[in-house]
Amino acid sequence: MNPPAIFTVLDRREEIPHTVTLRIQPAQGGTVTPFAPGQFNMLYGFGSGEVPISFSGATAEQGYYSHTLRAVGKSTEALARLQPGDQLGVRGPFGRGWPMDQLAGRHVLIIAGGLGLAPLQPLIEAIVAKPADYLGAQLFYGGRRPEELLYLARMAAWRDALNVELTVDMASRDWSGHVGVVTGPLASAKFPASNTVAVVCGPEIMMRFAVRTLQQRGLDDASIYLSMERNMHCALGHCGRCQWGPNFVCKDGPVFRYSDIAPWFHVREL
Amino acid sequence: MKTVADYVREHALFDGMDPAQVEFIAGCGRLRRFHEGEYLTRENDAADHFYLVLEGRVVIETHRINQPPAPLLTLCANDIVGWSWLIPPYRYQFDSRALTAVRTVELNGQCIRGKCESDNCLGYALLKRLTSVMVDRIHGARMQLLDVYGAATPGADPLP
Ligand SMILES: Cc1cc2nc3c(=O)[nH]c(=O)nc-3n(C[C@H](O)[C@H](O)[C@H](O)COP(=O)(O)OP(=O)(O)OC[C@H]3O[C@@H](n4cnc5c(N)ncnc54)[C@H](O)[C@@H]3O)c2cc1C
Repeated sequence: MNPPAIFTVLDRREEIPHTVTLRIQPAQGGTVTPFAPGQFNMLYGFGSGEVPISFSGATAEQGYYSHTLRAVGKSTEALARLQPGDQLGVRGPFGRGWPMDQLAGRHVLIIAGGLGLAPLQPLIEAIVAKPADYLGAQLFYGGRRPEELLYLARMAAWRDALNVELTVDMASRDWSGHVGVVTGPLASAKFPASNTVAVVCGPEIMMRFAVRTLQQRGLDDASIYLSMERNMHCALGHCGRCQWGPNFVCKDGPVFRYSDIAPWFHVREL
Repeated sequence: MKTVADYVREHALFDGMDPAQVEFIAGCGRLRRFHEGEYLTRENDAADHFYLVLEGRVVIETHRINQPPAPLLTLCANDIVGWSWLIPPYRYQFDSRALTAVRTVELNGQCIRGKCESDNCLGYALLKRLTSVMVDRIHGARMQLLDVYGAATPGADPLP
């Protein structure tokens, strides 16, 4: 296993409670290895542990990486506490990302739940940068409450290139988005099913709902892509920690085509 | 110009339904617009109608003492508003309020109940469709309760 490269925190932005975006650059300066939307780095907070965290910035960003992470346990809490100037270890980029070549010329449905918007942001920024390359694009983003939705400020710029539908489980009366499940607006959205690709990232239960709605709306299983964020360790397909059916999430994924994983997707305890 | 039957036929609820049955149902309907802020239904009022939403957004909400009403679900084009016309005592269970200008087909519940009683095939066909929407809503409500997004604990301190 390669030792991690040392990076320095350039800045830290608190997005929503317990969730921060870190911009990190190589401690020695210089360039960073390019990444593809949907790939991830292994981030190592010294003395805590190493965890997979997706790239959440635009691929066009030069000289640094952006990662949005939620503090859920020992390693992510340590990373989320880092301040500008602090150092961390980085290995990556790893994994197979979103099928950007499959999206060109087609209508793109982006379905995200909670923190699942982070791995989709590089894909969204790619569409926003060149909207003419796509037939159209719609974002369906769901969260618990309006104040727990990511990137609301940035979304204003996205709306020129894509239709944005926000849905929360609960809200006060002044909320102008939807209340309900993220699949609600998806069920009645207009799109050309035969020329549409869907990319989905969020809690697995939400992804199961989304797949069912997409199937009901006429999408075939080969046009649905999901990011499976299972726990992993080495990120190289050696240790077997993230084995899922015949796949290793770290190297065969995290993005999978639904038609390739349908047999495992509904198996409990896998 | 489009007729009420055309709008009913194009609505997702009736997708693929026998055209004669759709025509029959459309006989109980009329086009109705609501302004932003106007109520389609009011809790406990007689549930005489239900609505096929053609355009715009509607919120289903319930009132609370000394607090603003709680929004429960928003609905948009191709959704339907209201079941209470189908189930005794035929009173609306919730308020539904237009969030934008809303275009609907307003269907008269009593008229449809009468038609379904006299034509059980129509009744069964309609009930199957309504049941599927109701099941979707129940599944949705369950998911809303689950907190699937693993949200930060409400009220917990943000990171230092
Ligand atoms: C490919 C991939 C990309 C990811 N991208 C991001 C990202 O961009 N931002 C981010 O915040 N997180 C992301 N994660 C999840 C992140 O890696 C985990 O939250 C982290 O490993 C938890 O480690 P910990 O030591 O902080 O918590 P632990 O002590 O290991 O776990 C704390 C709690 O979190 C749960 N948990 C751990 N890992 C996961 C997981 N993968 N999914 C759901 N629950 C989990 C555990 O069951 C436990 O309840 C990604 C995971 C993968 C596999």
